[in-house]
Amino acid sequence: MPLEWDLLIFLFISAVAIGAALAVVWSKEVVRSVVFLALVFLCIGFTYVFLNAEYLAVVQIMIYVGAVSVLMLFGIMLTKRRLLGGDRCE
Amino acid sequence: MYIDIWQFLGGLVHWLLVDIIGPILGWIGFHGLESWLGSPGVLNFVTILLVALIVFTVGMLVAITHIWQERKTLGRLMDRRGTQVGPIGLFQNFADGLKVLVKEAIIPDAADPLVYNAAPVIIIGVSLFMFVTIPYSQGFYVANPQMSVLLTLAIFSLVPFGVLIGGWASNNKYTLIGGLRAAAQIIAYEIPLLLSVIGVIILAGSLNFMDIVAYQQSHVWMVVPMILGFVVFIISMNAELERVPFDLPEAEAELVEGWMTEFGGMKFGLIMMSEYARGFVGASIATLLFLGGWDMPSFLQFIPDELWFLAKVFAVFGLFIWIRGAMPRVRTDQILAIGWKRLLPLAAINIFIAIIFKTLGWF
Repeated sequence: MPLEWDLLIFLFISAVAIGAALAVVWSKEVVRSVVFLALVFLCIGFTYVFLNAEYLAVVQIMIYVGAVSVLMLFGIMLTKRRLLGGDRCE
Repeated sequence: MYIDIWQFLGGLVHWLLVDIIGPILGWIGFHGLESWLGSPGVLNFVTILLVALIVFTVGMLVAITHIWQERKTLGRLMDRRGTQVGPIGLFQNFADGLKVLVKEAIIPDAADPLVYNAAPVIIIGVSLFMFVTIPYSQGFYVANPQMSVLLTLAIFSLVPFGVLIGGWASNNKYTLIGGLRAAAQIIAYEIPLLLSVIGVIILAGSLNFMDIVAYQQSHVWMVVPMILGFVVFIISMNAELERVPFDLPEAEAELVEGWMTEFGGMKFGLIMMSEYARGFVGASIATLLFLGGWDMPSFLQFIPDELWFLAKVFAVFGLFIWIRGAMPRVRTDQILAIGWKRLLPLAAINIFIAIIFKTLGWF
């Protein structure tokens, strides 16, 4: 039986998406959560390519990874937080 | 006249694997390996790898030449001589690269190691990914998807993410402020950039670089009807690339080096390199969309298309350098006002002009 590369790549990307989604929940640091969230968005964008929806994939990457996650990072970084490994509030 | 790199390298790989290595393997006795090497899948795969390698190398060499061009031209603008190593200073960047390569790789003690190491990977990977969709001529490209303009600009919009987490992960207030400024500026100027491109897309009726260049070859260079869009595009592209009138994120005097202060060694070298790679991509997008790509006067047909394209790219980057040499830095409180209050309305007016031209059928 010939190896189905499409299926293999799809399974890999889905696994990465699920793993990153779990990492979003389990990260202690909020910014790390956003980084993994961006990875989830990116993988979902790739799965759209497998559905033959290239336009949706490009727009998904442009809006969700390029804008929404950056907006979340802004929100996190402009709120009060402690510097890493210290008690001092900034 | 252009080089069809796919046909050329496909023929080369076929000759190498089927006519040279195949018989040698068959003579030794590996008949299974011989037929596997000759199968179309393997030939296709090796050809794709070679094409990607060659286009990547050409892009990186052009980016290095952009660094040399910038240092030399800026030197002349400031009445000094610029780089000195090698003939007309051409080897200075290679010497700098070697110097940076032998430095120790340091991770700051208080940094977040995962994100700190991921940020340069994201920035460099995204910058080099954009080489994929840039065609140098009708035959010299890696990929030619139906929406290559949109794809290139979508990848462009991933850069502020890497900048922001890179500035945060270094755990230093200068890098954090620099990262926030960089991301705010890049996101703000992306909107006029995209809107100025829309005018070209409306007139050409396509999202593909090849089709847009073909339209310009048969009609007129887009810079003529879309002069307003071209000006907005060049200004916004300068802001996207964090070059001098808009280099607040790395303002040397107030923020040390901005968000890349804590990155050392080859990480810093590659981040600088990727900035010029993005500069090359920005200049080539301007060339493809507004300056006719590889279009040329008919009596100069004997010069290859790729050289024409690269000449225009170097001219556009020379314009960037000239702006850098001539302009003072924009003040922090003005930067977002320029983007939202000046460039955005101009880009909107440009779209209206494009729609009027399209309706009247002028261009």
